[in-house]
Amino acid sequence: MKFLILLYKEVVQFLRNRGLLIFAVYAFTLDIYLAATGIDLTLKNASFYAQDFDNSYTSRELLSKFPEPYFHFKGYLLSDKSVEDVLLKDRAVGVIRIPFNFEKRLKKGDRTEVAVIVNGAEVSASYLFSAYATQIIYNFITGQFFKPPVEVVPRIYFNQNASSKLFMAYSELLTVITLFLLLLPAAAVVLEKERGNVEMLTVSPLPNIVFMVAKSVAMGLIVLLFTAFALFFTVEKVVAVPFRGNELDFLLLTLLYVFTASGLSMFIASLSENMLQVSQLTILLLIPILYLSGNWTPIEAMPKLLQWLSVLSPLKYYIDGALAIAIKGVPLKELTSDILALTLQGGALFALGNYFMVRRI
Amino acid sequence: MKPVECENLRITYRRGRTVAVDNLSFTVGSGDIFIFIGPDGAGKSSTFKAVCGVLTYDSGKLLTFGVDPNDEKAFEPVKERISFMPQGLGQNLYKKLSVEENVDFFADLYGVTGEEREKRKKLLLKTTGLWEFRDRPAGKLSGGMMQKLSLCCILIHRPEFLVLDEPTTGVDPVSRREIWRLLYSFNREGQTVLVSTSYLDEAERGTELLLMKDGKKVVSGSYEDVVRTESQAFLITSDDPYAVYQKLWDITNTPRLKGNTVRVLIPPEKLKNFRELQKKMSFSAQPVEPDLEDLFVEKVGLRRVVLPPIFKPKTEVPENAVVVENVVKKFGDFTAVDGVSFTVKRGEIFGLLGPNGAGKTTLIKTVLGLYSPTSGRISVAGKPVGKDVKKLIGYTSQKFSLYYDLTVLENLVYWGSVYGVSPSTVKSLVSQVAPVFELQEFLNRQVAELPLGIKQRVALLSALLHSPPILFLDEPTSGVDPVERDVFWQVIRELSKKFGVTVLITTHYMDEAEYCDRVLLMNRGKAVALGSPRELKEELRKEMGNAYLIYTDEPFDLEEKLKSLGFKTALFGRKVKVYSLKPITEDYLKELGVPFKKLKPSYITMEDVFVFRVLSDV
Repeated sequence: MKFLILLYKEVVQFLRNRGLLIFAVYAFTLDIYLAATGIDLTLKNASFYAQDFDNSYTSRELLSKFPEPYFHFKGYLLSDKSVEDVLLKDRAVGVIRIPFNFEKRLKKGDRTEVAVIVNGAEVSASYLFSAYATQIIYNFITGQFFKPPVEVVPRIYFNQNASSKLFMAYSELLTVITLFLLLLPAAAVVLEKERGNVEMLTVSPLPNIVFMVAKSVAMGLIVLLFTAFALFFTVEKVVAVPFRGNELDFLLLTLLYVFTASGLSMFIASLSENMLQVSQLTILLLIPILYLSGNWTPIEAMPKLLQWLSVLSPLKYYIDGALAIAIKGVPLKELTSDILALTLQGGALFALGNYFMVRRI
Repeated sequence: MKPVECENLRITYRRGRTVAVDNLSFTVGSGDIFIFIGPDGAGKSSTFKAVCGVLTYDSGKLLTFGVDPNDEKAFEPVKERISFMPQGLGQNLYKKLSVEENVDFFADLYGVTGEEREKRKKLLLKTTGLWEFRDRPAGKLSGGMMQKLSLCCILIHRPEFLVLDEPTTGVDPVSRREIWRLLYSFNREGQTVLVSTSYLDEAERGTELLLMKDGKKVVSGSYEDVVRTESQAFLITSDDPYAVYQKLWDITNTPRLKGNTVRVLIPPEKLKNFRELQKKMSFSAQPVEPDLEDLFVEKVGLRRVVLPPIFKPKTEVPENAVVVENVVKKFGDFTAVDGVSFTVKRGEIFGLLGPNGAGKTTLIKTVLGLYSPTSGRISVAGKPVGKDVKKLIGYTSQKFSLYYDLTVLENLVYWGSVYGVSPSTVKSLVSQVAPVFELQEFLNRQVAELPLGIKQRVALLSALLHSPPILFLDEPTSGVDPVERDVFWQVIRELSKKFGVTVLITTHYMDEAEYCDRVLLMNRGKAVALGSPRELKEELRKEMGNAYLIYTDEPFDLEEKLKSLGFKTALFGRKVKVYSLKPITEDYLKELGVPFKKLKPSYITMEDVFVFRVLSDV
């Protein structure tokens, strides 16, 4: 009963904090929607020019193979100077240069070269541009002039269109969950510190640990509710990407993660004296957790040292498990190693975080 | 041209939803020491800010040196003639610079240079007693010293008009007297002072006063003209003052029990009833001149508080409820509490009195176990503070322990459950007590919207839900008006006298000592005096003699004269308070060759005790 009143108070205070409530609603709806639809990892509308020295039927045919909406052909260039110019002024992602006697040499079966010059300042677009362009040119030439002995046929499982929307939606959801789990309990504790209520509680017969645990649990429940809402509404209805697994499995895994992250949150709270410090420390902690989780860069692509450190990021196990449930439809019981890691890490962090917090009062 | 002319001033916040000042009219004449008095939230600061052009007022007519402060462009040159010191200790100082560097900085800022600067600096720092500390960083000064330095920095360029917002709040009485002395010497050079305070006893120190409450003027004028009540004020002494106090409620709504005396206002038509009561209970009643508190009480009226027996503690504590032996608390090389000892008896109201920074809060927190003492021994209810002792304690901290985003009832249910009181018990208790505390209409409102006095009552109630036998209250009455304060002290007295609750309370209002059974005066971490207020005052009276007020137009000359004759003195506006073992009569003064306008007997106050105990300590 006593614990219920402690929980009730936290939930009521959260709901009355209009600023935080609006931020939470935004983060679990619009923010995920924007991330899923706005950030695209495929090439879209990439402007390019051509420097066609051959100006033959084949060269024009080749350029016509760069399709919209991936590419956007802006025109022909003559001098090398103007090539430099359009790239310098960011008027194009790349320029395709076709040499003299392109058609003639191809027909004779002689070696020839097509240059793809990209604007390295736009890292991902230029990377994709050169990859797409190489593919198109290769396909054009093999289709037109000779048959290669081996044919490569890619097939994508789980996300057939290789749509980045699916990945981005879940990735952003997990990031938002992490942010709120780090922020909310710490903010709730530090507010009490600022107002001098912690002192009152220390003088009261209520053990501080009960009070802290009530805070973590209340905030965990709030985040869990928001997660369910984001899952059923934002992700499945609004962004409309498929969810293959069992939603309950996803929420259960999130519950485990709540313990880990709110333990970390208590560390933040124990080190902070005011809300400003809470937000600073949250960001300071959130960035390595996100980076080391493999959410932004695959862990395999990291330097060895960071690969080892990534074992420490609780988000790593959560992402592994959560994405497996959401995208691949793996049932929870098959994720034993992730569950084990989260439970161990969560239990330790939750106990330690609360212990530190109580000691620091 | 008058420094300030103001008619029907109105200032609102939050786009008119909160009215801070309403229909206020006053005029500050050249050479006045004009005092604004009122509780927190009365509208004093808002008015001052409007006068100085810091805040835009809504309507009415306001002219500072003949210019409307709302007209920013026209007002710019007037700002040069005003110095405004906002509320708070040492707000305008650079904490890392030394005392002298701070003064030099302000001198440069106002273009005071060369010999003029050195001369003036020396004069100001010497009058305030800061000269010997001129190399110390401002951040390491005590609150009172900081406030004095702030004033020096402002006064270095001789502004024509000085506007000071609560310069003496929380400052120790010795520094307070020095600050007033500085203001008088400034005023003596012909400049005008507008100053605000929440201490009613400072009213007498100005030439004009204006009493404010809830944004409105209550009265204004010179002290002698204003502080007049229609009723006659009496000071009653009796063997059983509480019984007399109880009976007086049948006649009037103005009795206040202070120590072993009762102060009461009797309207002319009730004088007969009063005399009958006096005959029946045989107490002595001395007619006294009303003070500002009497005026306030007559205007607003007090309310009798009777507590239901639910607050009676279930556990009995030992005779020595709180024992503090030689407690020292250090933070680094700073000693906040320096070897303090006292014992609070069961059922006693024990006051810790002292200015801000005296170590009161540190001491109370050390007793509660929030800080561990560097050395010394503490026991509460016969044991060191642990889990089972915590159940016996009720505590309100300086900041009030309330959640501003919860309603009153939610707060009470929450704090109840923290102390193991079930919500249903809290609710039934609240339904009984709400009328006594006048909380019915506020129960479902969020605490943030409530006035200070109500917040204070809710905070007190939240500490009482588990009927604790020992109460710790840290500055619970800061900034509230006398009527609110009376309600508060009635509750405390009922708890102590009827139910045997032990109360340890801190305050920086010296006059609140009267409500305590015994007090400990503290200054800079040390105990200055310990005893009942009556004993302490009586002791001082034996040493120093009786106090008298001498009215004059030349207070400085008069004080010099008296000092040269070997008297102890204090300045109070255009009055000098003088202490003498030999009775002072008008003839005696004439004999001594002291010029005066009027002579009146006065009292030794708790502030006197503090000032003289601290000074004899040094």
